[in-house]
Amino acid sequence: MKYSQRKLKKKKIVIDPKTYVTTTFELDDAMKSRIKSIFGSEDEYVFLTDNTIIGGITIKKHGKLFDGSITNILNQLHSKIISA
Amino acid sequence: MEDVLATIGIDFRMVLFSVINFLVFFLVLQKFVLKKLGASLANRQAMIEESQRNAAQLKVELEEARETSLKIIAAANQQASDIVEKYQTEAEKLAAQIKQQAEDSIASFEQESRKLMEAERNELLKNTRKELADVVIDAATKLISTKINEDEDKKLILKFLDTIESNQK
Repeated sequence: MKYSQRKLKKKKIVIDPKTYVTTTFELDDAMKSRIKSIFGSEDEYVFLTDNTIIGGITIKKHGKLFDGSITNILNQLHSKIISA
Repeated sequence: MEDVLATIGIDFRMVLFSVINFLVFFLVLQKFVLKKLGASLANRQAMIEESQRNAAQLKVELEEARETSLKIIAAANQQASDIVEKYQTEAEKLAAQIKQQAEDSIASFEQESRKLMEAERNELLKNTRKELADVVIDAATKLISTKINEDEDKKLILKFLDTIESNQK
């Protein structure tokens, strides 16, 4: 988090971040850096861990979702079985 | 003449007296009895003729009445026949209509039943598919979550990022 944002947080002013990155395990810095290089480094990134995701990664940028999780694949498989 | 009559035993004076006597009797009879009797006979004759005329008139009227009654009976029979025919036709029409309605109702009921059975079958199939999908996905989820460790997860993430990157290029 940038210094200016930390100051705003201390003053309890919430800045709505533009990009959320959710993974099962915490990402290392190299991975975070690669993500920023792919999705653009001009936005504020929030990295979250969520063990309900079974492997993979989900990235939400400006409301657009990039879902590379196994949960998403399983959900798609579930829908296909039901609609078959 | 008197001698001749006297010879055969006829007294002329007696005959004359008898004739006169008969004429007087006849005149008296005609005056007091025959006129009344004639009038009575004429009256009776007229009555009989009147009765005969009346009887003939009655016979004619009776004949006319009989013909009229026959005509009325024939007309009534015709009317009754027409009514019977009319109501028979209407009854047949009504029966056909009721039969058609019943057939339509049965067809509609069968169609509704088929639709309902089809809907129930589809619902059952849908529920079965959902349950099957739930079971399959639960099993897959459990299996994959036990197999994936941090390294495997990292490989998956890198693979996804490679895909995104190649799509951007």
